[in-house]
Amino acid sequence: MSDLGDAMDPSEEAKILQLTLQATRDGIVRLDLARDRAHYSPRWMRLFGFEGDEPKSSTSSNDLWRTLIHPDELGDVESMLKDHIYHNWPFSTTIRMAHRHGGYRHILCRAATERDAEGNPQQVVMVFADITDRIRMEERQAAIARALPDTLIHLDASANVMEVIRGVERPGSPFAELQPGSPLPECLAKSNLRNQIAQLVQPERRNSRAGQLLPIEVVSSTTPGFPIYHELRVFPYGRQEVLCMARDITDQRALEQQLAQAQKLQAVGHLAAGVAHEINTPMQFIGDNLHFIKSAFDDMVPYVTLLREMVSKAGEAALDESDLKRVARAHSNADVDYTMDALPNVVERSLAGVERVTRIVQAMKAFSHPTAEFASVDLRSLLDSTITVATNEWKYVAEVELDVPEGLPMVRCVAGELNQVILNLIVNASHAIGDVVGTSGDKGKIRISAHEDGASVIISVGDTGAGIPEAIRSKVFDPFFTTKEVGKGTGQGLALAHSCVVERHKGTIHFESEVGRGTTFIIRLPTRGPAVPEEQGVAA
Amino acid sequence: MVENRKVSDQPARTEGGAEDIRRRVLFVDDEAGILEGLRNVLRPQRKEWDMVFAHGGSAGISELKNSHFDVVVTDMRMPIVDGVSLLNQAKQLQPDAVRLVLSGQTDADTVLRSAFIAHQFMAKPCEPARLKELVTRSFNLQTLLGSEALRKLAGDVSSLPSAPKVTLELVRVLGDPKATTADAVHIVERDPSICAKILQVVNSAFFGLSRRVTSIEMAANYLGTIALRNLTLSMEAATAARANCNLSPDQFQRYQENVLLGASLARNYYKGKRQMADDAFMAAILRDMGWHIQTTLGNDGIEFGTPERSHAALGAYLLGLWGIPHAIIEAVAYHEHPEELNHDAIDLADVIHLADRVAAEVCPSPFETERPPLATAHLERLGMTQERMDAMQHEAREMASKIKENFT
Repeated sequence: MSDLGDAMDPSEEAKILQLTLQATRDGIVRLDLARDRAHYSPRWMRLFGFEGDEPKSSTSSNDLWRTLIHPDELGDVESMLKDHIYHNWPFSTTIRMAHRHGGYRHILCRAATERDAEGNPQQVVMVFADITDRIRMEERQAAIARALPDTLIHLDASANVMEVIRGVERPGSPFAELQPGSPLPECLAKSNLRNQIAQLVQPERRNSRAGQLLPIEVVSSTTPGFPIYHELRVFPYGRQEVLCMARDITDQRALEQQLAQAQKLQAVGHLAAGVAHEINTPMQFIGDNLHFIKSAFDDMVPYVTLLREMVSKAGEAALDESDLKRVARAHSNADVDYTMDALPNVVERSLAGVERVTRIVQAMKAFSHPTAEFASVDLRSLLDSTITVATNEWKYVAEVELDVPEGLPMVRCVAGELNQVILNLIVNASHAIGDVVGTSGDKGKIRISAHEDGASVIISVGDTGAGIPEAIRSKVFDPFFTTKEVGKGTGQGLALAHSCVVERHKGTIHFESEVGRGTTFIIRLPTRGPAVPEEQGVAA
Repeated sequence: MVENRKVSDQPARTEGGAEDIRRRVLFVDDEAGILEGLRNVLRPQRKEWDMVFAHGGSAGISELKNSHFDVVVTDMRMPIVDGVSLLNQAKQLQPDAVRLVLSGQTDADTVLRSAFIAHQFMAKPCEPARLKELVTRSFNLQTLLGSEALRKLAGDVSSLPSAPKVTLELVRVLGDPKATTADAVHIVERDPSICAKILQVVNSAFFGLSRRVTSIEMAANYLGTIALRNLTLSMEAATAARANCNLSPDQFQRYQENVLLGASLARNYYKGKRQMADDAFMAAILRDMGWHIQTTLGNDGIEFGTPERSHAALGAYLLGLWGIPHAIIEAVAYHEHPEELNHDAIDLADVIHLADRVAAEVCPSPFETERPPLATAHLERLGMTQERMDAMQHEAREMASKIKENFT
């Protein structure tokens, strides 16, 4: 007490003591060593469920407080108390004590001893504080931390690891071996974790809640080709510290990739059906025409044979009436006039058909880039082949205009992904126009262009469809958002286009739309590709 | 060369003043090259066929308004008037014309969509021989059914009503992830209308199957449950439009029981011979199609009676239009009078006849009026023993109660 300041006069001190005893929620037991009796405060009695009808003091042999202590802990308490009384060791321990109405309470028990001038103990005051609620809270927090699959990392303002509560981490995860005092794993050191910590320890950010800062995504890998993805969320904790929650999202990433792959396969299947249609039509008449040529030739053979016969006969003698009749009959049988009339056109038409098939097969080949790597790409040929491959999508509803100026620089991009984006836009444009023109036979227009703008190229795909209603414009790029009927659209096309352009190519994609006039999607790509190579996996 | 105008070959129209008796075929496509190719490759047919080539759906419709055709062959995907609209017009203007599709679309969806308006489908590229065969077969079928009124009646049928309970149950089973194809097959086999539609689709030249499919199980496996479900639902929609099925629910059930009993008897007759058993089962399921058509559509002023004007011929004709395998069509056509088939060994038609008569004793069909009796003498002449016939009767009595249970 004297620590608190000036010494009080004894009467004042006694008064304060009295008030303290009333105010405290702790129970007090006084052990009178000389008389071997224990005295209990009313508060102590209530703490353990007694209502004042029980004895308030007892001898040491049947001390009430001792009988309440959990049998596993009684021995320790006894010996600790002895050490305190006879050797003046400090006494402070947490024990379990039975409550009168059942169950055990967690009790923080402390003691102080009064000694005479020789130092002999006279009496002991024991203070019992019920800390059950606090212990339960701690247990619950520990259980929550254990139940979370996430790893919790307690970091100070300089990003030193203070504490790690490990979640479920797969082998090779940067958090599998992380210990307090370990250096920050490389993938974290390279991310903008430090930056976020610096922001969070600013006084005005201390009360930030979850979601105020974007999650950080980190990629790590101990086995090449099998990256492990984590998503980090950082929260302020105390004054100069943060708590970082690291969640393994590898499985989620794998699912997303499978979904993207499935969408691509579906698009390819749909495309294949369209391409097949474009091939089947010319193949039908090429086949018919060849059959015709074959049968025309078969018919022509007897006629030509007869003519040869006549020519050789004419060298020897004059041809008579019956010869001429034979020739005329053979001429008619061979259907010569029709054949001669039709043949040039038949051949021309067939050659044009072969050219159509060749063109679409070549476009298909150009379209299906097998690799997913950045390379310099000629946008004109990429756009051209994509338009050709999608012919069956637009040809009944629209004309396509392609405008790419001479000398457009090559663009560093992943051709096999970019052409999927363009394809999705062309298919959407065709559907938008189809909804407007219906089966009227009118055709809309799809304008596709590319031009250079500083260090970027801008690709635009515009249609003369109905436009996008104001109300849904903000959802256009959301995954699974679609206005198309079931089976026609999965709602994945534009979401994937967005992730391809923005995340993969570090470009931008947006649209301008006017209801009743049409929509134009505009893609801006850095001509020289994304500045930071994707492989390093640093993303904000 | 043929852009925007029709091209007709008319060498023999009024030669020597004689009336042109050639069959008339209309080809419609939006691609001039296709029409030209067809005209050239089919030129040898010009003595038997009077061919008109219309560039685009609208041109096709005006041809249909101008003159009569026996067969219409159209592309599916065309601007403004597509194949389905054209065939719908054809059905209204000239219901007795056979409607065929020659399409470059490769998805089964196209077939399913057109299955209720087109009789048969061919996929581009199609061999000229196959095209010729299909058109010729259509002509032959028209000869088989000797009444224009009946042909019009049949041409108006896109699908027949099935028992609503069957459709509901089928859709439920097909949507249940735990149900097997076999469950669906059992339900389908109770319903002649759905059976016929499924066989039409799966046997269409579109799928290019090398063998004829007469078993629902095989068809279901081939089409897949999603297609089966879509087909059933579109069928429901197609028939709901003309929902005047003149059979009461009770009559419908008796029809199904009778059909299923006859079919099971016919199948068991060919125990151990898989293909024959499948054919027999399906022929017996479909044997009363003609009666079903007449009950559904009514027969104002149409007289039945002669072999060319019988219910059996009407049913066989429609099944023929739908490209159901020939063995089945023949058995359906002759099952009421197998003795007219002029043969000297027991044939599918004889077995269906026997099964039909035996089934009629135990579970009479609602159509059981004025049917010819069992051709005992004819069957005995072909070597059918009395024991065999008795055995079938015995089997029928055992089976009948099980089948009736199945329906309640």
